[in-house]
Amino acid sequence: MLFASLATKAHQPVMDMAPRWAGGFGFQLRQQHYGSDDLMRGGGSTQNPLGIERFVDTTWLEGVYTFDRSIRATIKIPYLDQRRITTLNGIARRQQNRGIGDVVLGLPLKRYKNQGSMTQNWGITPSIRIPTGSNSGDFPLSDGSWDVGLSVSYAWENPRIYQLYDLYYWHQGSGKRGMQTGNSWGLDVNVGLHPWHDNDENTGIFALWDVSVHHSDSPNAATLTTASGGDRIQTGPVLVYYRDSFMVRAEFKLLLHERVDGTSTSRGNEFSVAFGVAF
Amino acid sequence: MRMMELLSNSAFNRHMSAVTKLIAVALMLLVVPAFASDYVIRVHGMVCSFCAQGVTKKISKLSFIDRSKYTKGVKVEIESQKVTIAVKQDQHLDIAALFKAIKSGGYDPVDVWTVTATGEIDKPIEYQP
Repeated sequence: MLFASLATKAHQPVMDMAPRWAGGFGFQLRQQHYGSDDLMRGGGSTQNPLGIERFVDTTWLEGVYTFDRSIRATIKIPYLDQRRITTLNGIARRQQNRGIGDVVLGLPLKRYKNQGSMTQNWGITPSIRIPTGSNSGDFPLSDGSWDVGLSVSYAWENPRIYQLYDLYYWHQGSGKRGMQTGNSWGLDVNVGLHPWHDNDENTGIFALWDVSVHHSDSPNAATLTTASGGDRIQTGPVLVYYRDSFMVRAEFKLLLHERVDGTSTSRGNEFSVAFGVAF
Repeated sequence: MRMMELLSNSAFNRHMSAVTKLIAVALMLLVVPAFASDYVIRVHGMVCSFCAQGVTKKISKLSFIDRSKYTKGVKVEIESQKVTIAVKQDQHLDIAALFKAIKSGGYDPVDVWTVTATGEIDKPIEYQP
């Protein structure tokens, strides 16, 4: 259900489980924001006299096609607007870049089991990230590498309760200009309620809680993108409103724990809002 | 609906006595019960709006569905896992096509039930997929 910037998680079919019907397709537009001016060394904050910061806004256009409920294809196209203050020879320097980032293609494969008012599924999602983003300049949108991802997920749902567990891994290929981003893995847990649904209007809400654990190996010194190494745990609420085949979703992720490799800006808290429609 | 149109027709009224009308109404009720065209299907796995949408989308495309009732001829109740469908008066329910449509929508049909004139679930229909 949830995503991380350039390290977009492999597992997420667009709009979660929808559309499940054969021949169905859908689109989702999602705006994501994260960033911070909190400079960290290891697991704690450190002094930041030069005002080093990093903020990233990403607009994701995501699409899904369902061949049948067990096979889907997804595409995620990011438009990045990233800015930071970094240091060069001890002098603060402002950098900014925007444009199309790396496109992610996924093939969610799911095995469903429906029993009474319960539905559950096991999923495996191979993904590939294509280096469509520019790798030029001093603050590139992409490291220019082809990356592959894999996730294994389990979801269980009834008309009142929703839960999702997802383990994912991204292997980073060798980038251009000597850049090498670190491999990453993570675990996503979403649990929550479906407190209200109106059959006549076919509308309702989900109120979920998300916990995300993420680890990234350190990028090499030549890497100029926003990538950084370390661990983090984020948590926060997710609210989804839907009506027929239309969905609006908002989520906030509080940074509960973070440890960075070396010295780096904190990821900060994260917010995203999305709307999607399925046909 | 057809019965009401017939009763309100002035030519019909002119040529029929009150007793004849009563007999005609009783006969109509016997031959075409008002809710004879509704059926309820138990479907497993429906939990949200997108589920209802998928089931509705697939069932409503079937030629025998009366799209003038409910939402395109289909009403989904996720808590009870019930799908009510309206079938056109002059058409037969094709259960094989119905089950295929529900499966194509992503869900698992269990059985089909007739509905009484008062809208109550009545009897299961024998069907071996």
